[in-house]
Amino acid sequence: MATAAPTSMATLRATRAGLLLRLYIAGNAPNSLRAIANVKAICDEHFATRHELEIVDLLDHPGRALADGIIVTPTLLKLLPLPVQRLIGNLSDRRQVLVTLGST
Amino acid sequence: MNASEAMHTRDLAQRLSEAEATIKALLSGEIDAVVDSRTSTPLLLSKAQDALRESVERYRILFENSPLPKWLYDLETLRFLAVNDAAVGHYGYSREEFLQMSIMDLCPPENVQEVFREIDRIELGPPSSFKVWKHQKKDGTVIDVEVTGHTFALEGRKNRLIVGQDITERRRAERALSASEEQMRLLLDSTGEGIYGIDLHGNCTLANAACLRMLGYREERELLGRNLHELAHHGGEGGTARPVEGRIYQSGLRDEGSALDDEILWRSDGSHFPAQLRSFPLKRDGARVGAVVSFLDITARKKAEETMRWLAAIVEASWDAIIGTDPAGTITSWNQGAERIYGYAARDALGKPISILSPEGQADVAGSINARALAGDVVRDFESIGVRKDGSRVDVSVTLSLIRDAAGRIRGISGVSRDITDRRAAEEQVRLLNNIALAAGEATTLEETLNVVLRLICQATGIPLADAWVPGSGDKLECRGHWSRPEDRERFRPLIEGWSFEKGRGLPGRVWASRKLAWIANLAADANFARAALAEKLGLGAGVAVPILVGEQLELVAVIEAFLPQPGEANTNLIALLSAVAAQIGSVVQRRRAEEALRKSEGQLRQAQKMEAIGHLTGGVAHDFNNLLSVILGYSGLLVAEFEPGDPKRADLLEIKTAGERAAALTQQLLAFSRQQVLQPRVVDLNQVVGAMEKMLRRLIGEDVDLTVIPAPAPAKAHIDPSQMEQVIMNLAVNARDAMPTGGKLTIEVGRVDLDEAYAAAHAGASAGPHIMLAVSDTGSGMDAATQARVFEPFFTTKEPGKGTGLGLSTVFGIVRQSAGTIWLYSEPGKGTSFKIYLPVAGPGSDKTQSQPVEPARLHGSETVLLLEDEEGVRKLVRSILQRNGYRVIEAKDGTDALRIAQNPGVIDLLLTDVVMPHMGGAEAASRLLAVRPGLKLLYMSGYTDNAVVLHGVLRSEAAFVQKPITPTALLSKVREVLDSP
Repeated sequence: MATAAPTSMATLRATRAGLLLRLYIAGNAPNSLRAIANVKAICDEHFATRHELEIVDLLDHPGRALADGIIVTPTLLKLLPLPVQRLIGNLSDRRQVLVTLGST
Repeated sequence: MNASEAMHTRDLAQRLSEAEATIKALLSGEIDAVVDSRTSTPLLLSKAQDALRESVERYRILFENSPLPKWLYDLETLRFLAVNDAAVGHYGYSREEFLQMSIMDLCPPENVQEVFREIDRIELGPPSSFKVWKHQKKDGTVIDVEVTGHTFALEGRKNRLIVGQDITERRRAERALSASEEQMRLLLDSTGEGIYGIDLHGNCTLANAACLRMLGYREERELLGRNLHELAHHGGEGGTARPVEGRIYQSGLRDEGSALDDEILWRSDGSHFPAQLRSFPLKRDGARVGAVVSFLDITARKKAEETMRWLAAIVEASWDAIIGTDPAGTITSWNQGAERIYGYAARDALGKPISILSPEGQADVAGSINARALAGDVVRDFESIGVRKDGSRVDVSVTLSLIRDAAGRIRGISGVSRDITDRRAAEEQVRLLNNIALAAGEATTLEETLNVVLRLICQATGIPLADAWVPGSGDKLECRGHWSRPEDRERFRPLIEGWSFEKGRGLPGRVWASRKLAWIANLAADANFARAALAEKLGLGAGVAVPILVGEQLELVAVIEAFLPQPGEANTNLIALLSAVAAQIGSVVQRRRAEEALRKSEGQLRQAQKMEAIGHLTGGVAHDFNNLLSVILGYSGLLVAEFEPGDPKRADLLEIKTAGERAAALTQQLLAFSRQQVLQPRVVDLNQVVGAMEKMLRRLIGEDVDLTVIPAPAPAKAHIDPSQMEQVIMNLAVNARDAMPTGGKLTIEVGRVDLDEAYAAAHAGASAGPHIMLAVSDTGSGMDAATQARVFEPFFTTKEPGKGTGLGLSTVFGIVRQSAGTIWLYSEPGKGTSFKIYLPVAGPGSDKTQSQPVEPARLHGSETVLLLEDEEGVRKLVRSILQRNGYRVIEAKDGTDALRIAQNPGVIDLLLTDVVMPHMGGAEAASRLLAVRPGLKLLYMSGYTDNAVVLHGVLRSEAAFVQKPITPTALLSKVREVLDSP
């Protein structure tokens, strides 16, 4: 699994800020929408100023899946701070999400 | 663990937890898509799910909504996993029930084994298969189901999806159809008609059993596909196939049916039969696809037709009329015979009533006969009168039969009419002839017969006048009989009275000359009919005359004439009738004559028999007499010789001798009459005999009688004993003289005559051929019939007692008969008498010379004589005569005696023997002695000799004999003669 390196200004900012997240989704699938909603809520609540969220729609960019080692959607990748962490599902279990995001 | 290891472990742990989290998320439905690792494409789970759900739904809909029952069952447990509405509806189980059941529960118990086996096969076999199973519904109904199944894996298990189509009905329909087809085939094969179908090329598409049978094939496939025309239709010459244009089943190519009634079909074995064919086109959807042909073997029908034609021909050709009518009497059939008899052509008679055949003015005879038949009477050989088309009558004999149909109802009448006109006419003729025969039998004279016959003819035929002409005096035909109706008699008299016809003149004369029937069609116009004018005046038009001929010579004894009122050509019926009548009369006359002749010859025979009887009697007496006379003459002769002439004793003895001689002459006559006398016949010219006697005769008959002797112009040689013939002539002359006491003429004539068969037949004892005739005729008192009948009887005399012996003519008769001649007497009282003697002419045979008289010196001898004589007196006499003249005599009194003597040694030169002796006759004795002494000479003595001995026996004319009564001179000279002969 390749580790995603920060690539955009957003990510640069995130690295200064703190949290860099990438959420892989599949179009308007229900779980993907829920995942989007949930992560945004969490980020807004807990990491308001220091997060960067990238949403990748695998339907639009199918090649990114394999390149990034993603096998299911929705999948949330915490790119920064390291270690990289993966979260599967619609992220409705907030506690689990926080743990994973806040973990070291 | 080092840092990398630790990192590795941390990685793994992370990965593991990630994986767990992934699965959890998957299971909890938090996953949206899965990335396809091959294509890196995310596959939306929801889409997949939707798709899956959709597809499942689709299949579920298909499954559920299929009209056919469908089940899904687990191939291992065989339990139903799913079942559709159709299955539920069709089988009667609820879904819940079904889901509790397995596939086995669908099968009837008896099929379960098979299902198990099949299941195994399914596991191993292709995924899809179908088979027909028996299923049992909940209510127990067993149905046939066509099951199509497909095996596949689902969620790791083998399942089978089956679709079941209830084909019970279809099967039933199929069976029904099959049964129906079978029935059709059965029908087809059960017909008597041969049926075959052909396609447009003429090839066979179907052939039923009858067709196969009739054409000689066993199976349909022998014909299928083959061209039937080449195979079976050879209606052309020599058995070749008919040309295409003529082929019956071309109708398959034409749009019509066709029929042939005279086709010939050929069997597989080469034989053929006549057939009737019907052909029809086969169409499907308006297009011709071929033809169907049905045919029948009409051999039987043709034969029946032939028979019918024959029957019709037989009826048609029948000489008798065969007429068919319906019960109402309308003519329905009319054959040639009917045309001939009644004169109507068939087209004129058919449809007319039967009454057209009945004579007018009478009740409908024909119709009434029909009615009687219909009523049930037997009408057979019913004689009736019919009328022809031209109005003439015809006598018919009718036989009717009723024609009934199968139910017994009367459909008509079949009548046979036979023209019996000829038969009737013949019957009439027979009746007439019978009557004539009866009448003729009763009539005694020709004239009487003719008159009766004429009457019968006229009455039977309606002829107005008939007469009969008989040859009369002057060689003319005179009328001896006639008949007409009493009222016409006076009128017709001039035709008969006062006429006579010579041969050739007039109708009767013409027939007399030609001896054939003559017919004058028109009396008035016939030049040769002498009474033409008369006939015309009296109202007679035609005439016919027939001769009546008698006997083999066809002597014409009469001519019958008949006259008809109208002129006309020869009527064959009348001619036949008259000819028959003439023949009958002829035969009646002939018969009468024959009877007459028979009576006469019977009389003669009786007479001859009487004479013969008397002859035998007298012969016997005469024989004895002869013997006695031999003694008297013998001894008296001897004694006379012993006395000198002049001695009175000599004169007395001479008296005795003379008396004896006369007695001897008398016995000669008796014997001659009795035909016991031995003749010494020789061929003698009667002229000479008569000539020699002429002088003596003149002296005998006296001067008052004028004798004329007329010899025959040529020598008249006959086989006779001349001395006997002299006796005959003498006796006749004496008789003639006695019949002319006051003188008269006596004629003796010798002639040569040929007696014909007729004479021979009419005169018993005569034979035909050339004869010498000796006739002695006088002009004396003649004899009446009574005297004539008895004149040859012995002892019959018309003279006073003492004047005649009554033996003269008997003697004559006997001598003539013994000379194989005949004597006839013709006499008329007051006119004279003529005796005619017929003697057979002697052929050119040996003429025995007269023996010379013997000289006295030749009376002695010294030889030894064996004397055989049973009569003692005669034997003694003979011995005495011989011994006195020097002969040595050995006596024997019978044949045995003589034989014994002859067998002893000793000389015997001559056997002198009597001919007729008891036990052994002289001839037999002679032959026996000859056997012992071959050189023995023979001399017979006879005065009593049987005819037979003379004709057949030893006394041939060469045999030497000496007559009894014995006179010494005759005896001695004969003895000498025999001894001297070689």
